[in-house]
Amino acid sequence: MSFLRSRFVQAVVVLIVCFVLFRFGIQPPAPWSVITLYMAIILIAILAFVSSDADSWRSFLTPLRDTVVKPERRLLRMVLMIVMPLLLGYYAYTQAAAKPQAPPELRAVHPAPPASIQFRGKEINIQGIDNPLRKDQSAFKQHVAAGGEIYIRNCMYCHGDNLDGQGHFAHGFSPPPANFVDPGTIAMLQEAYLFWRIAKGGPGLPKESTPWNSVMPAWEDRLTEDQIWQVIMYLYDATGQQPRRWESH
Amino acid sequence: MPLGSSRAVFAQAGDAGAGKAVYERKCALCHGEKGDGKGPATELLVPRPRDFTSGLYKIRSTLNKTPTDQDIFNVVTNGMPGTSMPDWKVLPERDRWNLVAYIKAFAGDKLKDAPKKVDLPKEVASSAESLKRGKEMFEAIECNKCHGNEGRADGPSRPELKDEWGQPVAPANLAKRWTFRGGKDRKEIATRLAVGVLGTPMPAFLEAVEKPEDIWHVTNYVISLGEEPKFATLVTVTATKDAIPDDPAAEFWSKVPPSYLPLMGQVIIDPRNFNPSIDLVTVRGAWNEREIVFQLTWDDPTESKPDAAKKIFADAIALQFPPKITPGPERPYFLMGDDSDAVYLLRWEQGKGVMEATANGPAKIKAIAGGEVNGKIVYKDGRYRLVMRRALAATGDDRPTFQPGVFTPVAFQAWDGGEGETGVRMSLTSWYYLHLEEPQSNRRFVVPPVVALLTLAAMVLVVRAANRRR
Amino acid sequence: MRKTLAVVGIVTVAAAAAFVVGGRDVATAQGGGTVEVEVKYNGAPVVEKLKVNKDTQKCGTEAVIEKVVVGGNKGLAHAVASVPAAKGGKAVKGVLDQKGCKFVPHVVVMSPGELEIKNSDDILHNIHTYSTANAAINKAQPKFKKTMTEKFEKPEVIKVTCDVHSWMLGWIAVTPGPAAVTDANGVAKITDVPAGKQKVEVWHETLGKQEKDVDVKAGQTTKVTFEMKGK
Repeated sequence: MSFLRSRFVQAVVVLIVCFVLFRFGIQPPAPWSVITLYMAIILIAILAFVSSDADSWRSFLTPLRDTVVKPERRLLRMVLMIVMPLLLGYYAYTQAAAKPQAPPELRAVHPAPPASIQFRGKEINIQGIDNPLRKDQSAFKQHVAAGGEIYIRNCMYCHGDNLDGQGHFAHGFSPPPANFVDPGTIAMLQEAYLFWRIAKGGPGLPKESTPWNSVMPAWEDRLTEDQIWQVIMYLYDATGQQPRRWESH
Repeated sequence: MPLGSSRAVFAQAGDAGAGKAVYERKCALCHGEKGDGKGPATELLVPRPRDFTSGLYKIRSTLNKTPTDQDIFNVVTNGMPGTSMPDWKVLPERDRWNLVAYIKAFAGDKLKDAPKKVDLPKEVASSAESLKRGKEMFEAIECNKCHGNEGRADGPSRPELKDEWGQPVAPANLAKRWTFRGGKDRKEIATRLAVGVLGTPMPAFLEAVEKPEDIWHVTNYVISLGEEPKFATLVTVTATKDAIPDDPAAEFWSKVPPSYLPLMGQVIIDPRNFNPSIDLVTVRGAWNEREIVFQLTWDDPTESKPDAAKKIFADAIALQFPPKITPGPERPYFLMGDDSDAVYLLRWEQGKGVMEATANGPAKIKAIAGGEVNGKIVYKDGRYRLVMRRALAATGDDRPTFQPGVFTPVAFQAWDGGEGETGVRMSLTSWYYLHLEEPQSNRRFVVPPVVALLTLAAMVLVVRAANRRR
Repeated sequence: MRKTLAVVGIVTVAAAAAFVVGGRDVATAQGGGTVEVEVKYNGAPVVEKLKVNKDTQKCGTEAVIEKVVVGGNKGLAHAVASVPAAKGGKAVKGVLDQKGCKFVPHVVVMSPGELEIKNSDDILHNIHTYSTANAAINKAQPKFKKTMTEKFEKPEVIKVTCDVHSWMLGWIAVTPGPAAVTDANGVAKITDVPAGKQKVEVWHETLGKQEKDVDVKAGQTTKVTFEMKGK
């Protein structure tokens, strides 16, 4: 296993292992643009590492130089000189012949909430407040049931019976409806954040979240304050998620 | 996934008691605590949630009323496409069998007869011959009476159809088999045809075809009526040097690649449209140095002449663009703009024809005076085909100028006036991108050899330099 | 082959009908009586009309839906008069035709057993029954299927519709005892009724049901009059 001591071989092995990890180790699969970016960072890191001292750098370059100059590597040299131009030429062809893709929509998924909102002429704090309906434990079931009814009459069409964002209108919209079962949505948000999002909907998003694209209605036109808190309780109860708490200062 | 295709699911005896808990958590909101289909959302849904107490099951594989447990299990597992019933694959298989046992119990002794499973005739694979016979039989057994000549649900009996509960019920659009309630699979379609769809006007045809295998010929023919679309993420407008025809049925259009766009109900502004009629628009576009032309195709079971007394309105369709194409991500609100940002509409309306308009929200549509658009519409066998054309360049602040290579936001709205759609009762899309394809260049044949040669040259230089230094 | 079957079918039906008529006479001679039921209705006829948008060659351009048919002398047609409790009468086989996009007869009376369903129209119909005691059926009967047979074993009055032609409405009265349907003058003759005290029942699709006790005498005709009330 002496060849493993070569800096060059080590560098190549690290590159391959990292690539395999990024390509197959991440679920759902990461987009190519992300993988390319990560690989570039890794490559720079490897080059920085192998060039950190002269010996290491020489050890890294030796196989490369050998291939270029040594007479006994002539065959490999010829093969590379045929294969490399062909590979790059093919890559250039795929790029030139590619059909245009819709440009990616960059948007902030969970933008910072405002400190307070105007809800039907009343000021409601968003920062730091908790769901007021949770104070009375005895009414919990009743609120969740009411929230379920509100959900099925209003939210189910996009967010789905399973609360997984797969309602029957879901596949028609971009950005897609939120998947509440996913730990990356309501589980990492405070209930007041949900209140803001439900009350103000797509039109209430800040610019970095592309409010013009969102089909989420502003529910303050249709639901009362209590109804919004109820449906929030239903979301957490039905998915088994816990709302995030405000950090106490 | 249909039964028995890749993973066999064996019928299990469910435990109704255990099913109750799952039912109350997952099903009761639509089907009601008592299983009578009277949940809080019932009146918003078309079709309404199943009333389990009636013991009537639409999707079954039996000659009598009683479905097999497997039939019910399959509906729970796969859902009912085209309805609000989702698939419940998220539930463990055990839970789904328990649900079957629990919901059957709602029917009391109405399901006491043992299911009599239908024996389908020997399967016949699709072929030109089979399709020919299928079409013959399709006409002989008069599927068109309800489903229309081309299967687009536009048959003359359509307005009269009622289900067992007295609710109007639409015939299936046979050209969209992916919306069939019992699934799009061959065997499922043949089974529906053979034993009918209980509770609806769809009768059993098992003994009503000339030869038993005709069931399969008709099934093959139905499958041939429509290909399941792959939805587009980008609407491409093809470049051409030729004149672009006005006739929506011209041969030209069949050569332009289509973009399939799903449309959804408008449920933001009252009155909300939970059950939109138009769920798909096929868009083809072409441009030359002067103009841009769109061909839109969509199914509509009735060519409605507006009649306010009968709640029939004008059919309409619209393409929406920002009035100015700006490089940034900002654009008007997708639902026809708002007070601060208007949208530009290319709109066709039954009786009014093609026009250009500006909208500041769905209620504030204003025709642009001196419009430069024209178009032509054809309605036949439950389908509209429309051509709308406009100059590429435009004057004024209300109209966008289309430029090749630039990604232009576009959205769509459609109204089926025959189903009472007008104003905000519509189906729509959110923003997509429109892209005017650049004229085909030789770039893809020139660039790759150049790259290859340059690479080779670079490598030769490196080798030479290295050897010389040595 | 199909034609032969159809001919055989028609011949069978004709033979059965002849047998039934003959059978009844025999039974009357054996000691049963006849009940002549007259059904009166004081209200107005109820008729709905509908413009036909298909099959006008067979169906005409206007469909007439007769919900209440009142004939001469205020007689109510299409009412079923029966003696449900009387057993042992001869079996009556029902024949229901679909002709001119109407069910003919509008009300068919049959003993529990088989019903012959004919399609004389040369277009698609579907037999859609709303039965509860018997199995509900919804079977297509395309133009080439001239006859089919269905079983109705349990006593029940069954609504029949055709979804292709929504105005088509018919009734199948499955009665264990002797029965008859009132004619245009509101008269029905129930033959074969065993002598003695009997309950006679009259049923109409929109006006409901009434019952009367009748003393039936062998070999004689007993008259009874019913007065149906509007709902």
